[in-house]
Amino acid sequence: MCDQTFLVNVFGSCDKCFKQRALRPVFKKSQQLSYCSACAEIDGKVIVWDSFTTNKEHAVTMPCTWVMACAYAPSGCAIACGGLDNKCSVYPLTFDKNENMAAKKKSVAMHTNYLSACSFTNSDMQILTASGDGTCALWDVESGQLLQSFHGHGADVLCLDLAPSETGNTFVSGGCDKKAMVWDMRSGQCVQAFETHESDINSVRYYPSGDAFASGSDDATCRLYDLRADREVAIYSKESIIFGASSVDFSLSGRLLFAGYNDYTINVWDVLKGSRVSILFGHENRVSTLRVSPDGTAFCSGSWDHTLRVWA
Amino acid sequence: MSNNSTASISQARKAVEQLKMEACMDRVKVSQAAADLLAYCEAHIREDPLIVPVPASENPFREKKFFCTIL
Repeated sequence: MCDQTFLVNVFGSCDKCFKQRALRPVFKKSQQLSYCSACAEIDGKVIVWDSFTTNKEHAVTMPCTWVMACAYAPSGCAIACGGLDNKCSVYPLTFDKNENMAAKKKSVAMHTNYLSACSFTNSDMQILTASGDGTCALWDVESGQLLQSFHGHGADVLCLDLAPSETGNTFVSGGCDKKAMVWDMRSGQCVQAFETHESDINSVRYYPSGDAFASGSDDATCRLYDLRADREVAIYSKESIIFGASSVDFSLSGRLLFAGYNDYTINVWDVLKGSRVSILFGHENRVSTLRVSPDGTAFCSGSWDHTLRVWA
Repeated sequence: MSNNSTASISQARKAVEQLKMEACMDRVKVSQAAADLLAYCEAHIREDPLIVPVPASENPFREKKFFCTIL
């Protein structure tokens, strides 16, 4: 478990621009990267896009480094984001050009390490966060109070997903300890745990019916776990795929599983047959995130090549 | 040294409690669970625009054809 204790001033060459500067060590997944302050602060932005016109609707500059997680509120009126600042902040979205969005920022969550994932629960009032400190937590947006915390992962928690049903009160989280754990939000207890992956789990996503979930991992496989049978029921892998899967999502019916990989491609798997349906090329660097739109007509992938692509 | 062992004992106890809880869970047979996943897929396949393509007029991501002619 990573606990950020203190910042050390080190001089050396920055991992990004290779200039000799004072470095800020950054720990992600127990790996240390060092960026000089110019590189580390450059990309602290959250942008809301219109996917049909490709216009930027809002842009908020975060006061600090790397934004690692962002989420839309169910009402569409606010966004939550966080990253290396160990906090999750909620910004109400406004179309009024005169208003400064950054001024209305509300800090909701506080962790002792980076925020890896966040998600609003069924309402705009509660946020679930996952952090590099190995815990997940449920927060009340209005008061910023911690409602429930979830301990059990032995290492950084990298992803989480809420159960799709209206009355659902469970969520699944995946971490660097190779485990995917299903939690009860009210009691804070771990209900089920699955440990069949061979490496860090980068992404988890519930099947649309809520009875199963898929996970993508650094071991280059995606796996489907059934919650009622309490076991892994399918593995999506190929010998030719050796790079980790960074992000997974299901199509609307659950028949297709889209997975973005670190080898710049997106593989589309047939969930029921276990075979690959197609492979999508287009990104010029790792695909880091992928999400299917709520109406199922398209999905969007984000990559280290600085682009977001919408596939339909 | 005894601190270490008491910590790991309590950790082990917690793990045992957790495992006991998990062991009591009612499990469904995989054949049944898989059949249910299949049924869900079949039921919703028509609504999935990525599998059953919607007509081009309704698809917001269709290839944008030009709507004007050059005179």
